[in-house]
Amino acid sequence: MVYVCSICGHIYDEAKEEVPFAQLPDDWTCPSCGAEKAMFDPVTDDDGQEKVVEAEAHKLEKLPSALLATIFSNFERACRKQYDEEGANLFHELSIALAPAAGEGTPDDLAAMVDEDISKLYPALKSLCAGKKDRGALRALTWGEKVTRIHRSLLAQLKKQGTAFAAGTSVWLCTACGFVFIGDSAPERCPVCKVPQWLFEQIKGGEA
Amino acid sequence: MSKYAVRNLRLCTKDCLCLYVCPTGASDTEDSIIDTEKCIGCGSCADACPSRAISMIELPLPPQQRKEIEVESALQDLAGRKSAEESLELSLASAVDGDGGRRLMKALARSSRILGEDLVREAGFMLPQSRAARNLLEVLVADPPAGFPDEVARRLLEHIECNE
Repeated sequence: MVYVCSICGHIYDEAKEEVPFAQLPDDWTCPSCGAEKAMFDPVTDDDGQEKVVEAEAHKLEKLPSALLATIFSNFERACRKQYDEEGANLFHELSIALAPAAGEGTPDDLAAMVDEDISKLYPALKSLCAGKKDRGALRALTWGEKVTRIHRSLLAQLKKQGTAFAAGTSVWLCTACGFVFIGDSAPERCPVCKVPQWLFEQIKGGEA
Repeated sequence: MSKYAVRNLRLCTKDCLCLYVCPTGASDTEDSIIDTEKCIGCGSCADACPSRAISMIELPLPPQQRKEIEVESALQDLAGRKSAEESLELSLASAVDGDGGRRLMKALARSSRILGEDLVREAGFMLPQSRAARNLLEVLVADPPAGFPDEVARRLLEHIECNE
């Protein structure tokens, strides 16, 4: 029998656990969110299938709309890698149509967001994914945290140097992991994800 | 199960052995992209290529690894955060003083999108062929948000074959 936490969706699958759900002590709480035992709903195997579908639908409802452009530009990439130009072009249209509206704020506001990512969000997520032994997610978080630290350091340099920032030199972007580098030429290898130099793109001036 | 060949043009050194071994001429095209209509998936080109520029992709792709709902939703929240940062960086790319700062903001916006894409790949949206992708398109077609080009989404639903 499978039990699902009605708060966070944590799954207690008796087939994978040592203790049957009924024998768990009354003060047992959800290992993921701390909800009490009574918050778990039992599902039979057949029902379980439905529950998963429901959970998926719920997941879609909760999906922040700002994420849609990102999801579709990712599918565009995936189609292109698979040689599916038509699919790539269609997903491209969707991601452009759903592009989030321009944000409001100063470079300091941005720096504050990035600071919070580094001090709170990444550490919390990394410990969650380490606990779940999700090494794929941990990989994305490890690279993402490093790249976000680079964002922070570049924002600090911009603040200090003002209009002199990157004057007479180039801004480079690793198109694989997002690492940003200032210099006359891109690094031989990306220091974060280790791809070769040719995967860097020079970011030129003009309209964003 | 079938296969087809894809060529990485950055690795291709134009030895052209693929042309010698391909039984259908699929690798001989004006734009160097292997013709998926002609490719029969035999793999001879990938074996013959001295630069290892050709690899074989199997169809249908296997279903994505199931992620824990909690992990998915936490990763999606962080990806949403990256999207908010991207929006701010895009507007700063035309607002900050100095060309260097503007180039930086433009690079940061692209970077934030790449970080977001990486997170959504790990949060259940890796493959366009997945059930999750299909569900998402169907939900959007049924109840399109303002300005959503539902015709494009309908064409995708027809075009992409689900692998789950």
